[in-house]
Amino acid sequence: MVRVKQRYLLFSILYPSVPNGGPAIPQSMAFNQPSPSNLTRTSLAAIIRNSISYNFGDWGMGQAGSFVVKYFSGATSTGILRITRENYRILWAALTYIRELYGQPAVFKVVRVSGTIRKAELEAIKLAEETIRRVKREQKSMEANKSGRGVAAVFASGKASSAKKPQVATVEDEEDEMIVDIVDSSDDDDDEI
Amino acid sequence: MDVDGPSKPQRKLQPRSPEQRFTIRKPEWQYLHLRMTFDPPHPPDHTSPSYPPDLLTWKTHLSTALNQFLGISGTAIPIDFLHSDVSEVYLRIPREDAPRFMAGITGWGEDIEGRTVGFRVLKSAEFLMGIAGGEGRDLFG
Repeated sequence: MVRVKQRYLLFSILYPSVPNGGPAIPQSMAFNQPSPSNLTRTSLAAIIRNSISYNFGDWGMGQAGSFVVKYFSGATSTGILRITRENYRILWAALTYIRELYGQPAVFKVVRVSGTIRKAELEAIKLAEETIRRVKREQKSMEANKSGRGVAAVFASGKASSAKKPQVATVEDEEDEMIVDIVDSSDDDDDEI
Repeated sequence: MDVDGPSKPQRKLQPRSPEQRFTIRKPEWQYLHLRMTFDPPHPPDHTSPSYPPDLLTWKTHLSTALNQFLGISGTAIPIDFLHSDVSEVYLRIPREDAPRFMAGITGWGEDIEGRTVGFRVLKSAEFLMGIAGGEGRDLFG
């Protein structure tokens, strides 16, 4: 029997607008901020379908309408989509053409296209870790700037060890939550058709 | 540079064909001859503000059909109208878009002013001569 080949698209949603009124936060943290709470797997699928239909019409829906949202975490704004191998470019294009979510400007960034969901999961974990590291680094340099050490602190931020523990505990919690989510999502994984 | 090489006179002696041939493998355009169909059909000699359709009407209907089948990416296909004649039109589109274009417009139909409007592809060719005339005899008198 011929095996149906699939592609898994790991994407992250970036929010280029900084939430106003709040305390100053590192820019990369604002970029990777949590998604609106009403953005779920089903509502996300509906938004993507809308985009496919708008950009590629009935033909596009026929080709790429059968994608599945395998995983989505609103906390990290990361998700994994599954689509047949021939049509992943249509889905990718439709994602790219999405410009806002619930009135908020948003950018879908496809981080990795993979043939197995496992590789996509590993990449998701790596992505989350990298984001946390970057936020921590920015936080350190922000604090250093506040304390008057200026540009030198930015360049030295890589080896700064005396800096206080940055206030990104919530992000670390997200990482834990995300790994658990991924394990859950791989349980009902049915890509081995 | 070796001017008086021994091979040069020999090359001159080789017979050369006076004609040059080349093949255009991938033409830039696809030329189409379309007819707008109406059901029930208009009686002969019928004229009204909406019949025969003008080029803007053509463009509107084609865009509607393409938008339904191919979305924005379909309406992005550039259409050059070359000539229109009652309810028929000659146009050209980029060759790569031709299959999508024809699939999009031929599968479309809509009720407009009590008549079902659709398209029919009468001719399709990669060169204008393929759709313009019969055998091209009139070109040479």
